[in-house]
Amino acid sequence: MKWTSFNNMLRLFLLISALALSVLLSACGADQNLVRQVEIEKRYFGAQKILEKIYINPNIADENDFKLAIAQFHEVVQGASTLPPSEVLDSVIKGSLARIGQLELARDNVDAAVAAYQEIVKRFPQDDEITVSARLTIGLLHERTLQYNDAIAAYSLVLPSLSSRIAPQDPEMYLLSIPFHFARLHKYNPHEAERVEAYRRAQECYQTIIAKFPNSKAGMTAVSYLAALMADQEQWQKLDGLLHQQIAKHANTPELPHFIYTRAMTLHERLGETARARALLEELLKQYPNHDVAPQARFEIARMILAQNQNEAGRQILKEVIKNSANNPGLAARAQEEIAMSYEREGQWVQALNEYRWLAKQYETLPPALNALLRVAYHYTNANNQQLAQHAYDDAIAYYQGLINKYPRSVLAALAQEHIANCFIAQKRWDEAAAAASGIENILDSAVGKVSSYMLLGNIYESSGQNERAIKIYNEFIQRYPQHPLAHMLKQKVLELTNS
Amino acid sequence: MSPESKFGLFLWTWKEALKAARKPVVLLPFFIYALAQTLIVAGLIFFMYPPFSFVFVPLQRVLGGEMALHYPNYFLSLPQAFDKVNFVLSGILGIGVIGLATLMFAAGARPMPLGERIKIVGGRYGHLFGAWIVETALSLAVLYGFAHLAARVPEWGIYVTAARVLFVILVSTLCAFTAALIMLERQSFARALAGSLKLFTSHGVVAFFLIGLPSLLQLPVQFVLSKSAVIVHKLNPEIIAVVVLAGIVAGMLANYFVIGTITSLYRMIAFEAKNNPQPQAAPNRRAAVRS
Repeated sequence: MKWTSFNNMLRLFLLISALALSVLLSACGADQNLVRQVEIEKRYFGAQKILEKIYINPNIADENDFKLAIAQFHEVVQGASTLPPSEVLDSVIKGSLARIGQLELARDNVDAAVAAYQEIVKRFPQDDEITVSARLTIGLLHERTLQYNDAIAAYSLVLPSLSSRIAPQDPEMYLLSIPFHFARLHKYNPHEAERVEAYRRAQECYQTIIAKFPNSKAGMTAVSYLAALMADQEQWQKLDGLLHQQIAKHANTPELPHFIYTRAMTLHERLGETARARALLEELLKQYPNHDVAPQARFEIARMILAQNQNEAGRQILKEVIKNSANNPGLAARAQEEIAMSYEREGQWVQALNEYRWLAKQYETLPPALNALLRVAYHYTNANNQQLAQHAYDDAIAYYQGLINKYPRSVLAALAQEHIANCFIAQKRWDEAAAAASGIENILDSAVGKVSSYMLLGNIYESSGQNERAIKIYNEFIQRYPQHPLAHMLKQKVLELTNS
Repeated sequence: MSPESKFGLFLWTWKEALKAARKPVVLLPFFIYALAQTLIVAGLIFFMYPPFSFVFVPLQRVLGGEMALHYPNYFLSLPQAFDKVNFVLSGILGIGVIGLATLMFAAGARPMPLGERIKIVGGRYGHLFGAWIVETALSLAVLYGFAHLAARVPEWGIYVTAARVLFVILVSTLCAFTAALIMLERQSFARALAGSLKLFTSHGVVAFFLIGLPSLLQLPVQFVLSKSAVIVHKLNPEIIAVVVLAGIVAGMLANYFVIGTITSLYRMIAFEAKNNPQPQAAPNRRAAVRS
């Protein structure tokens, strides 16, 4: 074949190929669903990038980033909903809604967060894994805003399938706590039948977990919660029986010392069998001298000894506890407080004063330290030493104010503010006490802060004989938190104050 | 110029390859191949849009499964998907590019219409393909062998990787002269392979470095691509496409220098054989370069 004819044939072939290809390509358009799906996935990915940026430090994140991420996740949900369902798109919708919930929560927009989780439950009712998590979150959010009835309703739906979500050896602790939470929300329920039923359901849930996962971490934790439920209902004999049974059953498990300790404390504090309790604790220390629970056991033995007025022996043990509790400052502070109180009871006030001051200085972030200076002031008040009492209250208020400045907008600061109010209450300086109590809400801008503020203000008004003001504040509380367990009790109080 | 030492020969081949770039037409085969590779990358990224969707949606499904049709998964699988498609492309278009480039480098200043060169390549395509099959089979055997070894002795990981790279370069060196022998001496692929092995015995070290050094250009790209997951999740998935495109440019440069220097080396060997006839040194007494 000559080159020219080859060249012509090649040209002809290329021309025909190009024509055929263009016809073929024009015949097939884009798969619109695939194009939209990829666009949605890109948007989802982009929104997650903004989320990552926010999560570096949500407290200082730009508000516009929050808005942008939430808007993008909403667009993803809307867009994905218009496409034929698929596993990937479902997971994109679930992820977006969960992230909207997280972001709204980070902005303290609880209602919007609840709405996002409710949307998950509505869209995927058959998907147990996601709906259980969503309902739990809804319950926790309602609890946070003191909407207890709504929280109960959310938890109630979760309880039947809870045991199927538990990983026996590595359980999620918040999941295990849900039945206990559920029962606790009924603790102040005025209707006994409802209260009893709630505790029964919670106990049943834990019994299922114990039966399903014996000798597992989940099973052991369930036993602890079951014991707590019995304690809540003051079923002390039943609790003692349960712990006795568990001690026999789990002779060689790491949880055994915890069971022994809990049983000893039940015997001592609830059944009045201090001698048996002490013997159990001493046996525990003998068998497990280096166990985590050992310092706590020593502390309780020391308290039993102090209660028998063997002060020096008790203090020696407490000093040992402090020495060995470098990793447990809470226990060390309590031990220090017991030492100071024992000196005070003995009449050795100088030593007691030194111990109280040391406690306030050494453990300033812990409740015993907050109480220490107030105890000093109370001591002078009880001793009718007005001048020293006045000084002690002034010192205490200055100390609490220092803590508020050092740890602003924290639970500790709110507690310190409450102690300032208590200092004024003790001095019957009612207006200053009321002003201090109102300040709690400003320090801790949460439901807990607000409830504390209301209750303390009510007490102050009652104590100062300002019943009308007390009634007003209690009514305001009832109106604002109708589902709060205290609402019923406060209604009765309002009735009593109105009739008095 | 007839370089006396091996090192002189090495430098001379590089100089010749660089000199060839004065005629831009020499770069044409490499640009065509890089363009085809770029189109493949575009197709693997924009598979959902026409005109790519017709071919690339099913192709993505075959290469990476259903998950490869989702963002950003298709960026994660892009390097592997591209390698697979590029492997096929090298067997179809790549061997033609090598043949054409070998002719162009060998022609030097002598002009020849492009169409005529394409016709010569068409005539030798079957032999080029045969040589490619053998070289590819050997390379794959080396790769799988070392992968097996790495799995059996994971503690030698870094040494096995280094040895694997060296052995792949060694395989390429063994077959380095096949294209020149097929295109310039019109030998069959079997004879060309045998001839290449013979030339390896005398010029293996120079050829090894001529092939190995340009291949180093690909190493940074390979290193970055080994961190694909981190790039996708922590930075931006689209960076993967940019790195793959950078790899195409690096590959184009590497191919240019490998083919350019190896063809120049062969020309020198053929020239010496012609002027100092030694039966075992030159595989063919015919003219080294057919214009």
